[in-house]
Amino acid sequence: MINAIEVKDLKIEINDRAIIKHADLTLAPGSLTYFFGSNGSGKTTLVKAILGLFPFTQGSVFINGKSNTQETIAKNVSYLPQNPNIDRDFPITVGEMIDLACSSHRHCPLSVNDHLATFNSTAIKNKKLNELSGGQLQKALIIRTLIGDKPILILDEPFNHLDHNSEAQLVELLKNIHEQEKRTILIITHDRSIVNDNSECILLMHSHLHSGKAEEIINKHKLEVI
Amino acid sequence: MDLDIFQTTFTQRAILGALLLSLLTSLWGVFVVLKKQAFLSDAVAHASILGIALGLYLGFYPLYLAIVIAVIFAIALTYLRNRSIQTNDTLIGIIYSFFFALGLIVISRTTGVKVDLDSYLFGSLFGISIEEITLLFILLGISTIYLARNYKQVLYSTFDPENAYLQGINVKKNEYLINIFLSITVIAAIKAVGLIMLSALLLAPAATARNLANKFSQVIPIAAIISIIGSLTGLIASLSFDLPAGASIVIVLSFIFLLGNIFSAYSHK
Repeated sequence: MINAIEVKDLKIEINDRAIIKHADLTLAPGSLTYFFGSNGSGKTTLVKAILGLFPFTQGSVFINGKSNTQETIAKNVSYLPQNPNIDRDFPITVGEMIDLACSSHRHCPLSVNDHLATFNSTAIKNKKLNELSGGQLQKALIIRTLIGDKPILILDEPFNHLDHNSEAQLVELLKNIHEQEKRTILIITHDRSIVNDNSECILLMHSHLHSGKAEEIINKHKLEVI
Repeated sequence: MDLDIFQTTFTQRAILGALLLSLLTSLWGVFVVLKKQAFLSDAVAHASILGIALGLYLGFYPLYLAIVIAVIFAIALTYLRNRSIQTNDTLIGIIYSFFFALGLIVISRTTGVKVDLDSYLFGSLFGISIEEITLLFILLGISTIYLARNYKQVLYSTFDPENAYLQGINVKKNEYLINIFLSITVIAAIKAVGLIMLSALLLAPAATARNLANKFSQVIPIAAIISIIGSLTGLIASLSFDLPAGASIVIVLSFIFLLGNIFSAYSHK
């Protein structure tokens, strides 16, 4: 079986200080995994290294069995960044942003309205980004990430800025995507309420990765402090 | 104003030049404003003084050498920006000063260039030649074809470079090409308004359009309309009151920018 994501002996340094040491990680195709770690532990840096957005000093990363080149990433991975590097004053509407994302996918059968409807956001179609609340922008960016049929979804803090209803909706949406479309999903989060004891988890602590079932990880590493 | 003046070749050339230049600068000005690189256009213009000086010194047509220098400047800047931890404005400030300094040294070694140099510093739209109009026409054609074919890639790379990279778009190639097109556009605009004032021609219509547009698809058309209105009004004012054409155009565009800002501020209240 080819793993969806495979990280071997990865080391990431920033200014000669190791952020990640000897990290090994495998995500099976179709798995749903939650990624925990305290603030500043390097979760986002590790994900960016997997995506080829951050250099690593040692090790290798494979996506569906292939090296993490831009072409492999583009074919296989959709990514929601924690802090998107976009200008809120850029004069683009939500509808135009979704259309733009759609145009870069080979397979995008739904209309902009259909995409927005998946997360109850048709009302913001003609709004510019600087007219949106933090939660509305987050929903628009999540919709953009879910476009297409890329087999791997990586979501960095997807519940940020969302109200309780939207958070519940997103959990349901991701559950459906996982169960029906069998896509591999990796969620970086601090929200432990969405995790049950049997959920697959990764914990990044003291520059090392630990993986296993949620209950085991939580008990072994006293996750309540995170 | 004597309307016969519109029958003269130099007026007709000036109008045609202003129209072509308006369309060209509004195409690339939008991306300059959205990429927050307003300083870049000014820097390219100042760096190009080296090309103009070399042209005058060596007896070549100065704008052609200015284009070569501008393209070298754009490539050097883009290359360093992708490999340096220094901020964009720091890199631009240092590189353009270097080019400008070289230009001044060449000028100091060239005799009798003062009058020629003035036309590049302050522009001379009524002195625009057929060759320069042809250059503008070709540049506008290439720019339009490039943007029409790569519109979504260029927009994606400008709006969200990280996500564009993850979608498989060659963001760096787009960045190089945008900066090269912009640099050549800046040189083409020198003839009209001069290198000291050309930033206004490039930035004012795009910045006004950014304020007025309700969505991105409106930004370039609005910028083009503002640019054309501003340029033609400036030209008419120049003919009517015997004012310098470049300065008149810049003043009109600046007023439109001011009005656009006031309108935008009130409409958002």
